[in-house]
Amino acid sequence: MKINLELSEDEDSVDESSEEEGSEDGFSLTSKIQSGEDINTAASAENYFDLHAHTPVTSDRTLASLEGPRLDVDTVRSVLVKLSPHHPKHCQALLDRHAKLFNKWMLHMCSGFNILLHGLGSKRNLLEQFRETHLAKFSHLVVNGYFPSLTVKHILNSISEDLLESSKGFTNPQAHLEFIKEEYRNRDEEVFLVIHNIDGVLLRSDKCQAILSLLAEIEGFHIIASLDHINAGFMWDQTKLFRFRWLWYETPTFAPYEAENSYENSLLVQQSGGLALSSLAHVMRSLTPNARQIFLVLAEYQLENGDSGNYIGMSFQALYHKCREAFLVNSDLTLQAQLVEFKDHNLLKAKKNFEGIEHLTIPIDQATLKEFLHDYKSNS
Amino acid sequence: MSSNTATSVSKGCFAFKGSTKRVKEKDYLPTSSDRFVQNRLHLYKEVWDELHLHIDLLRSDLNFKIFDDLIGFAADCHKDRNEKIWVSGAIGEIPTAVLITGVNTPDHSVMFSNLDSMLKSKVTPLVARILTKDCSRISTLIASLVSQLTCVALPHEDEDGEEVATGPRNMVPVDIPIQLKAPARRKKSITMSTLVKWYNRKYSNSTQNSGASPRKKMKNDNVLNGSVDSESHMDLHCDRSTDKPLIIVMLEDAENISPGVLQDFICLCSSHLVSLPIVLVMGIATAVTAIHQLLPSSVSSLLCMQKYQAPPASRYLSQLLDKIVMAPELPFKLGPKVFHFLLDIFLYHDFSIMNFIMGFQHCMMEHYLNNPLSLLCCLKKDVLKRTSHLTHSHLEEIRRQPAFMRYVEEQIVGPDQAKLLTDDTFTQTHLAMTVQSLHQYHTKMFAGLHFLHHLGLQLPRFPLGKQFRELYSVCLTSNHVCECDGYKEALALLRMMSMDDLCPLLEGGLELISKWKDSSEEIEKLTLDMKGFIERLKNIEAEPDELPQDSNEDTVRILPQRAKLHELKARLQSLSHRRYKSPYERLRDEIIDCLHNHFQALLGSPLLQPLHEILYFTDIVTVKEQIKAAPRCSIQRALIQPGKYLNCVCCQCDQESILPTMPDLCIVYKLHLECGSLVNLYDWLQAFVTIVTTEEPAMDSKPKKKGKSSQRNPSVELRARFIRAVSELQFLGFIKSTRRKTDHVMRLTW
Repeated sequence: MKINLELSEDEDSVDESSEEEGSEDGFSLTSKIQSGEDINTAASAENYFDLHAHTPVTSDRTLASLEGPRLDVDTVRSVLVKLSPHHPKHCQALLDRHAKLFNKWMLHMCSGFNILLHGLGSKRNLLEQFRETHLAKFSHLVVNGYFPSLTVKHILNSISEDLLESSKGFTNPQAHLEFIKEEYRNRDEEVFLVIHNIDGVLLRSDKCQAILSLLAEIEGFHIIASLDHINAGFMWDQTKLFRFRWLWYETPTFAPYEAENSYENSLLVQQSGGLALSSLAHVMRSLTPNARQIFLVLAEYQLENGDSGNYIGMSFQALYHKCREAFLVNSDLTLQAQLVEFKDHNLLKAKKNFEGIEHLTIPIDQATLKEFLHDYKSNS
Repeated sequence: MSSNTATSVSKGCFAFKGSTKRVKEKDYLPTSSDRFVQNRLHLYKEVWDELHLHIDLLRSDLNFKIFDDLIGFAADCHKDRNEKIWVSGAIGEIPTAVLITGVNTPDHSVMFSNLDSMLKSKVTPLVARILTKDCSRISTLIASLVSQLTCVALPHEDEDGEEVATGPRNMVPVDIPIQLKAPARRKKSITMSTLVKWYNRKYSNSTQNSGASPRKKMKNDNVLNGSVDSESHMDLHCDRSTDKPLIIVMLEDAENISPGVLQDFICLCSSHLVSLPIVLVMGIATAVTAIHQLLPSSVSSLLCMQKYQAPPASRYLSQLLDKIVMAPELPFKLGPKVFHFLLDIFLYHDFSIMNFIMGFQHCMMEHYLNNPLSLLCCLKKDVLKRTSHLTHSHLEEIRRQPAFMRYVEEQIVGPDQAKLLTDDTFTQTHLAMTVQSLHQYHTKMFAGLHFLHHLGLQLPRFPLGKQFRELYSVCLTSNHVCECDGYKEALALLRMMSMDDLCPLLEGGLELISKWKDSSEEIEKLTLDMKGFIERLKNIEAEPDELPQDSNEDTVRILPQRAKLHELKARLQSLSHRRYKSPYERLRDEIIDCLHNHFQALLGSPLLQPLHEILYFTDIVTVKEQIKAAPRCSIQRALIQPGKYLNCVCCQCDQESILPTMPDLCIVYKLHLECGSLVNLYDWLQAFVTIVTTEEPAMDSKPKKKGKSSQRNPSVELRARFIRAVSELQFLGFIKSTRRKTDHVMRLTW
């Protein structure tokens, strides 16, 4: 990182010729900024130790002392939508300046490079604009890297099912990749991948990036992606970087991250548990009636007793007796087998207490659980 | 459409089918002012193709030696195992060639594919390349191995494989009531014994068949389908060696394969060594010790290893630079800063040739795209053709270039100046002449540089640098090589060289530049001069011995006389200046002076030549940003000084101050910079509100009326803005939540 940072410090005065050529096109942006005063962005080891040498002193005030309830996501969103945008003219000017680079991007992609956009602000709209003006007539795939349940399999499936219109199934991504590669070798067709947030949480893993980089290698595949996390560069090792053949473009837009920011882990927002609820409903639908009933038994028990502070969960024996009474299971082995399904989906946590007896909890807060039970009963 | 893709909660991928299949480059050329960019792009393709050819040639040359050794090893390793040992099954060691590849992993796949094709053509058709991606489990590894091997010899073999697989599947219902999925079953059935079976059937049969009657062929109906194929394939091999063909397995990046899988694989290979003549080729990026770290001794003792060190990437780079980048033949040249930039990335960052070439390609493309003068940046032999094809509008375009205008104003005097701006034919011939003289100059310069570099290599402490590229970069950065200190030191050292060293040195240098001898007068003259000197050095006895005229008398005169100490000292000093020079010393001085004169004429910086802009790419700013960007810095810059990017009057400030007009995110970021490693959210919110509300005294009277209480309980709107800014900071990776204290976040930067 140190090397990276030092490289960006400007020690090279800007060439006159580039200034002249750049001023009319969109290239003046960086030269202007770089020729400005030096900003101390270099992170040094001393600073780190300065910061962590002593335990930080902060006040003990908490957000609880604010009046009124914590805002939930919907309120935050609805309030923010009403706000007038910040520096609208200037942001638009920035966007327009970046838009002048569109042709250049296409040209670079034609000659085998891929484009990576970085800089402050959501680059979604910029990429969308690019997609609509330049990619509309070509086959292309839009990937929302920030989407909370995206997997690399989805991407591959979209390519093979929607673009190649093949219904073949694949056991592993490698085979899938091979298939795509083979298909496109004979096809003489170009495909553009527009990836919003290639550093999205679910795409960050080494495996995903490896597959994306292999996709980038396929002849006729072009990638234009955006990147936001400050340490995103660490995702790629030399091999992957080479496969991607990135050309970086700094495109700060200062636009708020509306779509990207899901407020999922935000501390200030009251968690509505919307996602947990939907996944719960989803899993329930795929279960056998008996399993559903078992889960309901557990959920109702937790709802009744969970309010006490030292609730450690329903003991396995208690659950077994209840289920036996309701003719849901005939042995504790079958109950165990049923529970595996929940454990796999993280809907159930088992913990042994000091006596060695297993206690089962559903790791979802009471309100969500209540809502779930309510929904479930009204539906069925 | 756009809102669709943004907010959908059910999908993360959206595919759109397009009507057009191929992209046409010419649709995307910058249209505005530059009309001839297409011509230039065409030219770029021409030059790049030419260059690419050279690079490929170089690449195949480079590893030739090591590959030759390795192939020899692979071909020989199973020969000494005679039948007796084969039968007794005593062998357990797999012959293994360990290829130390170096850390520049991006370049390796090219290297291995070269090796692959060489092995296939010279040793055996049965070569399998195992990539890291195949190695997640031992079963996938074996599957990949088997499919690669069987495909090579006989594509029909797939059917046989299926037959083998269906065998056990038919029996399944009898044995186990619960049925496994069919495909999974099939996959599992590919094992090493499948390979052994296939190998035995194929090669034992065909060796028999080649000598035996066709009746035997009929007996074994299994191979009926493919026997013709396999036989013709085999005959080739039986002619060369009576042995069965080897099976070579290349594990490209052995360090990256999970140790468990690798161990299993090696054990499997070892146990099947009796029936399969396996040879392993392992690619190791670091050092042989890595193998011992990967494998326990029980497994590594199964390997009979032979080490092969691939030439280091830096040597490859030197060759590439010498033959391609720093060669007079290629018209496109890198300016000093760009040259250093690309070199630094290679030397200090990745050691990857492929990345270097990519960067070079990008620079080249930028040059042809952005510089209208590059219309003339072509191979030397095409210069005349190209200039004669220039039309009036082309010439007008060139005349409009600042570089050209500077050239005309500063370097041309008299009537030619006006002619250059008006007369097309004159300009054409003049341009042709200038560009050709540029090329000519490069030829001279490189010949001179190579000669000088060769001299410098023999000197202690290498005043001119070990690598040719160091000398070249001196040449690019300074006005004249002769002015730099290293050169002066080198000449001083040369003046002290003994005859035995100097003579072969000059001869070697001459040999080095002999290919450019005829290209220019200066080099020819240099060659002639040096040849003359070498001749004279060889007949040093014939040199007239300078008569020590008065020196003898001097010494005689000093000694008997009484003198004061300082007088004596001065006299002795003057004596030493005039000390006796041998014929060789005088000749040596003559040689060095002559060399110096030649270098003076040859080694001026090419960047001082007229119209060098045609060939040289100097726009470091653009390329640097695109090849080696610093995303984190750019984000931090934008957060600290938003005014610079937004170009607005209201946000212009220095680094430390916070203005209420700034975007929320910037304010929140700057506030958190003032904290230690933990940030209290409540205090942060209050600080944010304080700053933001001072800005809008006139906007709304509401917050004013409420006064202090409104501050402590900020409005929903302000809180929402704060929440957004904080979660955006979290999204960017500046903070993360922590449980060390309630309602605190942790800073991740410092």
